[in-house]
Amino acid sequence: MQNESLLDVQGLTKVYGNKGSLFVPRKEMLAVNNVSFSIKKGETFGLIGESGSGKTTIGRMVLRLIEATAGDIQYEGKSILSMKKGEMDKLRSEMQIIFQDSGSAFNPRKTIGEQILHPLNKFHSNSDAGYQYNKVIEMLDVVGLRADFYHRYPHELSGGQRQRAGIARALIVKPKFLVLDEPVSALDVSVKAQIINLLIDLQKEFQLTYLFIAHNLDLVAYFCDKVAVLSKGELIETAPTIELFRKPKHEVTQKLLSSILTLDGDLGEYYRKQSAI
Amino acid sequence: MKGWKIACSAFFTDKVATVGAVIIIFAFLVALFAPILAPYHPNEVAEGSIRLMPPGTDGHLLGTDQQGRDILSRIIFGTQTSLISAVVPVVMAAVISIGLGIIAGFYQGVVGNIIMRIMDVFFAFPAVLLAIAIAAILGPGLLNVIIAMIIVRIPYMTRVVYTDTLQESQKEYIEAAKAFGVGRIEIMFKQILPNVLPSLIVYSTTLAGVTIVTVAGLSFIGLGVQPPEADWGRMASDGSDLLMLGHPFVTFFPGIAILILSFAFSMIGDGLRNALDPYERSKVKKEKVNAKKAMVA
Amino acid sequence: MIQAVRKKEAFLNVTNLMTKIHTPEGSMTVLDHINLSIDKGDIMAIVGESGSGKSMTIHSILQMITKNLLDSYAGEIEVEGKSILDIGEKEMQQIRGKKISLVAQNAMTSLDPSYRVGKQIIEIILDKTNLSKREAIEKALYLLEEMGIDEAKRVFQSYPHQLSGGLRQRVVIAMSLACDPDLIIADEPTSALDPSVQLQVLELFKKINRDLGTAILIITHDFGVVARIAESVAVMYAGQIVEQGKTSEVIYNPQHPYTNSLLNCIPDLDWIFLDGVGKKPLFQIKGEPPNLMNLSSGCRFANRCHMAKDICRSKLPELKKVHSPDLNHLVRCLLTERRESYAK
Repeated sequence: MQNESLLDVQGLTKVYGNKGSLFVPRKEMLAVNNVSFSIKKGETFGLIGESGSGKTTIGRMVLRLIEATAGDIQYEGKSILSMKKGEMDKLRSEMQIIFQDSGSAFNPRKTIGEQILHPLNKFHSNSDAGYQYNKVIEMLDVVGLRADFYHRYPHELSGGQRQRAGIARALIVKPKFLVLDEPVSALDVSVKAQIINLLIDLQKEFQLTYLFIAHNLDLVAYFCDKVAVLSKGELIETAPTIELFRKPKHEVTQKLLSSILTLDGDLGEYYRKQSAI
Repeated sequence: MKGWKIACSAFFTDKVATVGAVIIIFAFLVALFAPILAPYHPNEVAEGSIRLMPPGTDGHLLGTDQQGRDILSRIIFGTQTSLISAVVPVVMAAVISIGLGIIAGFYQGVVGNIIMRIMDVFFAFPAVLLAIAIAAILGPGLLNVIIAMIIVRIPYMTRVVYTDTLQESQKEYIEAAKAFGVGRIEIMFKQILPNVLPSLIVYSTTLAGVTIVTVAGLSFIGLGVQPPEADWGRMASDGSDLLMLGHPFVTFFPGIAILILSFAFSMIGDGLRNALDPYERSKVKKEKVNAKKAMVA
Repeated sequence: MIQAVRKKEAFLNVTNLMTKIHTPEGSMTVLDHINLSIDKGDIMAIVGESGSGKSMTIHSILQMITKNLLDSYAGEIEVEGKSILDIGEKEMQQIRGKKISLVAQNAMTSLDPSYRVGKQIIEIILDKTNLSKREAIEKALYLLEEMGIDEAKRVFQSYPHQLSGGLRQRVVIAMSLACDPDLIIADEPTSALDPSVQLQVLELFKKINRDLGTAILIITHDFGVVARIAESVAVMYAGQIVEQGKTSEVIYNPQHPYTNSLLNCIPDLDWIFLDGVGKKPLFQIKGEPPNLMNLSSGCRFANRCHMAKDICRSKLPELKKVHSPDLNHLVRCLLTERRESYAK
């Protein structure tokens, strides 16, 4: 079953802009252009590129938080772009998203517990309150937070703790597929490692498939099975991680990888030699 | 500690707000118990009283007006109309503005544009002028003045709600809700509303203060409360002819009353914001816990 | 080989700096006996997690902690030998910008969105120097060009929102150079940027240091940044400096377990070039930093330290010299102390 693909993206395109009217000139921007990739079950698929390359837009389109302009997205063989709202809503418990923590991923005026409970309430509205409360506490424990975090407000948590809570909120509906949108970019180096390790453990425990969008290239190298490189909305290179990091084919990829900061030596030097050969 | 208790303590950490709250509560009590508190009936000339008695006259603490009515009693009864004219238009306008502002901010596009362009049309006229025009069309009377004030306040409040909604709808917790398939109505009124409400409430308290003055002004020019009903604006207007004739107090006392109540409403704004903000509340909670610890130690 | 001996002139000296701030729980000591010295032309880094006190350190140096937050300063901060802790706000404003300037983490917040970039740079120059307006414009354009901006004139005429993140950060750095300061303090100048832009900005700092002799104090949580740019580094944890020394010494011969942990948090990519052989689990530091309001009497890192002994939980170590080629390599760890004494 390992080789079965979970998500197939074909020719995905997003054009931002207006159609133009009497007062507004027609203005269009191609944010994502004809992008295709597929993610196998249990895999961690990395999506890298400069800011503005369209990686966040792709992550949102896969979950239909942004509607695609053209192309097709198949989840377990079903085309999700043509689904009606009701059908899509049912599928939403299987596909979830973890945001870059900027303090805005949680509603500042509701407690963490309320916000983790909310999706559970939505998808399992028939279960009783006590059961749901226990489920939330259980999930907090899974992500390494104490039960008393239930009654705290988002601002009372550190960045790392908030990110754990965000993971709990996504996992409580038992998804199979997670879009990780820069989940550790805003965190300290030491906390980054904690969250990545947690994601790896959870992947094993719940058989999750990840789409990892990031600009921390060293973590991408560590975490992903396969990596796709985006530049100006177009996919320029897709390869297994080791292959991509050893022999980046495209110039943009080489430039991107050269900027990894290491403790000793200069990776840029290595890639320049590689491309000279 | 209970949530509302913490909210109250957060409110009362703001000294200005506390003073404002005390004045408003006092005004409400006065309005409620006006028949008991007032020494005379507001519209009747008390037995044996003379016109324009100066303040401090035996039996008439603030004196009598040009018809010989007790000014103190009229101010006490006037509190009722003043509070109604402060609270009712603002609350009604807030409810309508929340609906319009959140819908416009959340949907943007065509719906948002239509709503906000209509608001812009109202913005083109000065508020007081617009209120006068509407009240004049509807005819004099307290109810019509209140309707006029509601219409005048809606564009301002909708703007506030709209701007905050625009900001909130871009945040990731809204996307998280969408990712769970939460409906639009629920997102608008359960997720966004709690976050736009505090600034609207603060704004509303300021507007309530201004509204008292505006309604008093409308009464002054004869559009509001009709005689012989006791109303501060009307009283000030009636006394204006006497200002230069050596009887300034007929205008002075109702004028002061308008000023104090309108200030009081403006003062409670910051306190209300503190009480509604989880961050401020947790600060207060921590301070309380510490104070307790210090007591034990 | 003859080693050129650069005569160093002390610029900034921080001695036993203690900073206390007000919190709802009472007064909190956020900086505990900080000692730093930066010579003219140095590049130094302060590294640590959020809450370690690295930002507090620079805000104390620039005396930018807001009045209702600040409880008290103790110790001494000297700029060119003169104490600045007790001078007035007016004199301090002369030091800020003219002698020491700050590059904030978020370029967007240090630029005013409603004015053109050029106007903002010129205003600073006119405010702090005696240059005429024409000279100020020339200087501003020169600075933008120096920052490696190709279309300096276009950027000069732009509003902040019209520029990319990298360009904005360059503009902010150009602004910080407007009055030829002796020291630039950069607070996480690259953590919001793309990796390739981050690299360019770091190179830019190096160039400024080389060409203009400006000293640079960079605040970061990433040892990769330290390795790339700094000559010396101070590692902070829970309001204290736990290790300090030359960058190469601290990176290749770390003495404090916390420094070691931070270094380990940077994934090692060697396995990629060895066909996946030797891929180690990603190292993580367990737990969270201690609450500064109720500290134990022991080492502040003890609860997260994988080497901690009983003594670590009861006795607070002091910052002491270690046996090392770098004479100024200081470490605050009882275990290192003990190991050193055995070695003797």
